[in-house]
Amino acid sequence: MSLLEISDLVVSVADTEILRGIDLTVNAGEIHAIMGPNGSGKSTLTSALAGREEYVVDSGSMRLGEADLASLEPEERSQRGLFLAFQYPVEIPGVTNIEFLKTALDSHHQARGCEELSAVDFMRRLRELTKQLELDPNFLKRGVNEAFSGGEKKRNEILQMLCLNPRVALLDETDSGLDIDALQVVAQGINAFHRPTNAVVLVTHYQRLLNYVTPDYVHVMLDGRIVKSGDASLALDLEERGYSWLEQA
Amino acid sequence: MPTTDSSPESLVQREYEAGFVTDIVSKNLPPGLTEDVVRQISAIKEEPEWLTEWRLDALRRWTQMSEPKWAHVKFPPIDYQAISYFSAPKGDSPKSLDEVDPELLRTYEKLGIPLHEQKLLAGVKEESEQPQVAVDAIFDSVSIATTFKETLKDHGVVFCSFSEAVQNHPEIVKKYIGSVVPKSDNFYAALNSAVFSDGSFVYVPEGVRCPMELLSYFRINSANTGQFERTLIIADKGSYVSYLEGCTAPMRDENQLHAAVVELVALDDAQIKYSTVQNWYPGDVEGNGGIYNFVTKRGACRGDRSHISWTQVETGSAITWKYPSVILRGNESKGEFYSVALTNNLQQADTGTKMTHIGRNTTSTIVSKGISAGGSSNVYRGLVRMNPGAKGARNHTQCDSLLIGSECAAHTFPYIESRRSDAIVEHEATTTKVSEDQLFLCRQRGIDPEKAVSMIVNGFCREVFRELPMEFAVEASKLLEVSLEGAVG
Amino acid sequence: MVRTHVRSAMSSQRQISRELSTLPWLDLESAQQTVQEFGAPRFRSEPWKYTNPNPFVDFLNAGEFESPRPPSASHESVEILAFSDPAATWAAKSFGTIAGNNSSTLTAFNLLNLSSGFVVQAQPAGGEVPVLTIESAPNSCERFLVVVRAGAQLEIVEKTAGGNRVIECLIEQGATLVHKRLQQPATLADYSHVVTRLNDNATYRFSQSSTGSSLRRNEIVVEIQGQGVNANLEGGWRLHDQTHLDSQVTVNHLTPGSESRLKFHGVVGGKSRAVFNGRIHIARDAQGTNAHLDNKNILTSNEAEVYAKPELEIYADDVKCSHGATSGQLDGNQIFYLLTRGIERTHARNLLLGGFLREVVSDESGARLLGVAN
Repeated sequence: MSLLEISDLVVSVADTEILRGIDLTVNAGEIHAIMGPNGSGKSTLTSALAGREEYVVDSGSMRLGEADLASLEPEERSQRGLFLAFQYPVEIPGVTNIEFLKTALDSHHQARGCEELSAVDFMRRLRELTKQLELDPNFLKRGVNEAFSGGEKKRNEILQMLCLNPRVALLDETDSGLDIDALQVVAQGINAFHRPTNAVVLVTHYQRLLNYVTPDYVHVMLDGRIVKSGDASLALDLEERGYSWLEQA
Repeated sequence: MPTTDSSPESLVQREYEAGFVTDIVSKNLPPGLTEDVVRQISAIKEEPEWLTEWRLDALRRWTQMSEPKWAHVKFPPIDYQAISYFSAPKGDSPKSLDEVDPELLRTYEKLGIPLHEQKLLAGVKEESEQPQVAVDAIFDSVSIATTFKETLKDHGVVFCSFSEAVQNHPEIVKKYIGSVVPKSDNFYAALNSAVFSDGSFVYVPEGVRCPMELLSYFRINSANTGQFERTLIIADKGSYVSYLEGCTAPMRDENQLHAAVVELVALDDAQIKYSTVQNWYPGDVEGNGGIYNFVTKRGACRGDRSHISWTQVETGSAITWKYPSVILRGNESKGEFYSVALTNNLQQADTGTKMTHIGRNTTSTIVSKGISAGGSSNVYRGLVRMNPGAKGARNHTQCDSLLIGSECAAHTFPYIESRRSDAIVEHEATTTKVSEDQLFLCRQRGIDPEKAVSMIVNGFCREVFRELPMEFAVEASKLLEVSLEGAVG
Repeated sequence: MVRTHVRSAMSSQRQISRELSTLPWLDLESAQQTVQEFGAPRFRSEPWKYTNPNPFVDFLNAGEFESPRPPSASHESVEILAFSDPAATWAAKSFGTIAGNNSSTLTAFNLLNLSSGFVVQAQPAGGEVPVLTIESAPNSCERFLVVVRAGAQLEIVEKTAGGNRVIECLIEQGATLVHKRLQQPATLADYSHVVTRLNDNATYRFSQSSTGSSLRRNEIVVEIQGQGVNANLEGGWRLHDQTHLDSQVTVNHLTPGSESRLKFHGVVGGKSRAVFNGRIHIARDAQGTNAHLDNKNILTSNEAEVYAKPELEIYADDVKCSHGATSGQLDGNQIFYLLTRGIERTHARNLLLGGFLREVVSDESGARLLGVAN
């Protein structure tokens, strides 16, 4: 059974239709890349999936496993295993990363009716992750994204993903604004996360992240639709030829 | 799409947990304020004549004064002749805890305030190695019990009700009463000086570090009474004391007046840490009932290198009018004010501090966090004054407001007065709201909106909570959650 | 009435010329009523906490004002008319609606004692931004109404050295007003009240350089009544001897989506006294407002005094607001840095004070006035 099933999804924002019928099936173990120029609707798709209020689903469906996403609150979607790495992670002054992650993780465990992680295990896990993502250990005691550099914010998103261990991870332009070293760290994080039981959807408009994370499928979005799908080689084509040849098609 | 409204403002209405009434027979003085009433209060307390005269003088001054109008608060006129100025549980004053009315003991048990010495504050695990807390429990106009008196006595620390102090330590009371807050300081202080009932008294002798936290717990129970407590804390040279204050009241439809006076005196090298968690009944959603909390709190850093810090968490009361201040007279003395004021529904708070720098190299720090939700109004009002002698003095003020919802108001009125070129005053203020983006990030990580808002608000207040003793920090943080209920939804 | 001692002359319009007193649109009657209702401002009342208002009232009562010096403009697209000019009646529509003669006694009293008044309107025109020069006599009581018509641009250069003046400005849609004020030393009490109203997408840039005066009060009010408005107010002062400067700056955000930025720096020396009250008011409707206020003071003498109050009054939640105020002396580290580079102490201090004032006084003439020109 597919992990994420989107069919004929139409979404509008402030009465303007942005997504005009998206179909996408993501199975366990797959990595998908969604590419497309600015304004093609990529971020609208991730926002609608995560349940941002102003993104209104006019028709179509989004399913995460058995669950109909549209009927769930954003936190319920998260608790059932949908993760969104934000393009612009917001700052929450004074709330430390530790506190934030512990609260999130406990909420997940509570929702699933399983036991909370002990503080000791939790801290051990967090320390491993900070090390893996080459983050300063003091990072955990700082406020969520407070005075973080662009690279730190993105690595923090990956850290949260590894910590919450979702079934489907949507990464919205996680590669933008990263230097080459940070890009590699982020890519390693994604590869470490990816398993036969979960799936990754990368939203990007550059090929460069795909040099480190190899997608099984590449989809091209234009004007609110997926106009072409293919394998990893499609991304290379796009890099070379741009998007205009698809517009004419 | 899910239809629940998750805007921050719709997430705030839980019950006021301390809102029950204790069913107990009280002896009250009839409503009204005259010289006779003042004499009667003084007589009930068997006070020496100088104190009776002191009260009468305050009353005469009070009758010449009018209510301050400058605060950013609105309320119908108070009929001072309709208030009963003394209320006490009936019966002789108990000699020990065994004589205290069991109904009263149950009240404090319900509130989580330990009146048995082996117990600790509710919420603190027994096995943990928290220091013990001595409690002075004040019910309406009288103190009903003070715990750990003997232990404290062994260290030379006096912790008792104000009335006892008048009997047992009249020389200290006489020396310091009104020396920090003069009886005609302001309308409410004058009223308190005339009719004050009970309160706490602390004296820490030279060189003594008070071995435990001291807690006074104030409870208004009777209807149509005011509470007018008076607290006096003296820290002699080189001593240290941490004093905590908590307060609750039943839910009643009428407004009740609480006009307290607190005076702190720190001599050379002494330190007083004064923490308040104020949770008086705030009134209901429509603004009916609730306490008028009109309080004068001031500390005098008389000695060199003395240090007074006020930490307050204000979540209750219909109206708060309160400016815990420090007069920095001693050279190198230090004053601090850390405040969280949360208003919801139709609550009004006008609170802040005054730091008066007189001595050389004196320093003060002000951190104020105001949170307004619902239709409430939250004001920071502060004064930092550098006198001509305040060579090298410094102040830093950080004053932040957080708004939850579009019907509330947040104001900042800081006064800076400097008459000294090498004194440095820095004031910063910001205003923010709990943003939809912050909420959404939390929800995307699986955290429900109410928890998210309380987490964000707690984060906003972190700098202040850090200053609270452990037991209080936990309570304060919980209290914020309770007070915010219904503010988001 | 016990309310206050209304000074005797305040209820009569002794000073105003007969010519002006017959103009119906001045509405002297309502100004009379205001004076009678509110009386003279009282020393120690909140708006006059640190400045005694009596000398301003006494100044007006003393009468005997100099004959007016009419303002002049650099370009014909700017029309200047005396109040008494029959063509000035268009002013009836706006006059007094901005300055609020009905709420402030001193502005009402200004009207009742007018020695001269002018209405100015700037129409859109190509080429260089026209300049309106207002150079008041030290002994005068004046009133101006300046309207910058939609899409027009105007620069005001205003010089004050005593006297009493009220300026009302209306900046219509998309128009820009640059207002430079130079305040020279004055021996007579100097009172200025400027109220500027901005409509959609209007811009107001105000900059002020003030030297010490025996007694000077500047009241600056900005009313934002439109979206996309940008108001930028800057001011610097350098006070010596026994001078007294009181600056009262208020920005009222009444509508959503506008920006204001206030920045005032002062150097306060001798036995002088600087009072600064900055107030940002954000009405319930003014969502999406961006407002910042900054006031810094450097005291160069232990006999000088600074009284600062940066206020925020906020009734809308989706706003970005901040304010800051400081009082202190020059940074020792900065001085030391300059000393290590071989600069002698007095020079180092002057360099730093100059930099501090030039942060807010960007124009050459202002910098020269404050003695900090490069």
